[in-house]
Amino acid sequence: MSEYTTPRDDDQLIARLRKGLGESDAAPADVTSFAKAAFTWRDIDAELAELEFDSVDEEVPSGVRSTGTARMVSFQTGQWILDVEYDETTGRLMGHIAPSARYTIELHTSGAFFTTTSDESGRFHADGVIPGPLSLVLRLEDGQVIKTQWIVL
Amino acid sequence: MNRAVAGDRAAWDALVDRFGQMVWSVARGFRLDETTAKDVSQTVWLKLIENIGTIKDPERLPGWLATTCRREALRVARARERSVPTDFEYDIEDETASLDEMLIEDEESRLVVRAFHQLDEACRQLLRLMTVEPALSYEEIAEVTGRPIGSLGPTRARCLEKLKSAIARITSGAGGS
Repeated sequence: MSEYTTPRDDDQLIARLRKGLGESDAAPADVTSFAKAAFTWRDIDAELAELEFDSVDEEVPSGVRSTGTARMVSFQTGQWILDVEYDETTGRLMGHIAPSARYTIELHTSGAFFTTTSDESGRFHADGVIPGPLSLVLRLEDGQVIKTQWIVL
Repeated sequence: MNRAVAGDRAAWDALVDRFGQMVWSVARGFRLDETTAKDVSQTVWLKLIENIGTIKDPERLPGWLATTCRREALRVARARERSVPTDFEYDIEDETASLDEMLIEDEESRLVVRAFHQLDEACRQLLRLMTVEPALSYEEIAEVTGRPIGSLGPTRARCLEKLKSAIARITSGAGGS
């Protein structure tokens, strides 16, 4: 090590850093294989509900104590509004869909999805939801598919 | 990219292979732990599947991936309240860094990476972005870091000086472990 001299050439230094980081902090293989596999789930006919509100974008006014760790997000497309509230500490996800009706909702996470149903008022919940990517999919009786943008809970 | 839009599986795989490391590096540049960086990287790819039809110019894809990654990284960092790391997390980070260094075969590269981990967060992020492949443009790096484009050159020079100092400290035995 005593023979080592600091590389004077910045480009050489950058090249060594690139080589070193490429080896020591390579993209994990499971991320790459996940990204490849995810292509088969694409649903080009689904109508995309865009993120309209996210509680993490809101500034907490000074002097107001945060009421907890719940994250609130809202998606919308056309007449459809999907509200979701998620508490990381309990793993409970609660939601509401307007227009209110009974729906079967698919909760897609990375690598798996499970279904839940709403009551007549459009409310639903799911337990044991772990932090990570999430997208909600509604399949309506007329064949229409509504899908929320992916978010990271 | 157009072939991936049309549903060509092999073309999609090629996109992931080409840009996977870049997306990962951008996520890691926001000092996310490995689990969170994975969540963010995966979400970037899921969002690309949603939006691939809307990106008309393939040259805009690296910038789109980088800025989408930035947005998701900042969002999840706030949501998980990890944007202000505790001392405890710093300890873990340093531990991981030294273990990862063992993976580097080339001794000189290993030394440079060890020095890199001693830099401040801003320098680490900038140098990470400047070493990703395929390379990001200065415009894209400015957007990801939220820095004025004119400041990137001088900041790069300043960070490289710090990196050289850190290397010198390690080789003289003062900062090594």
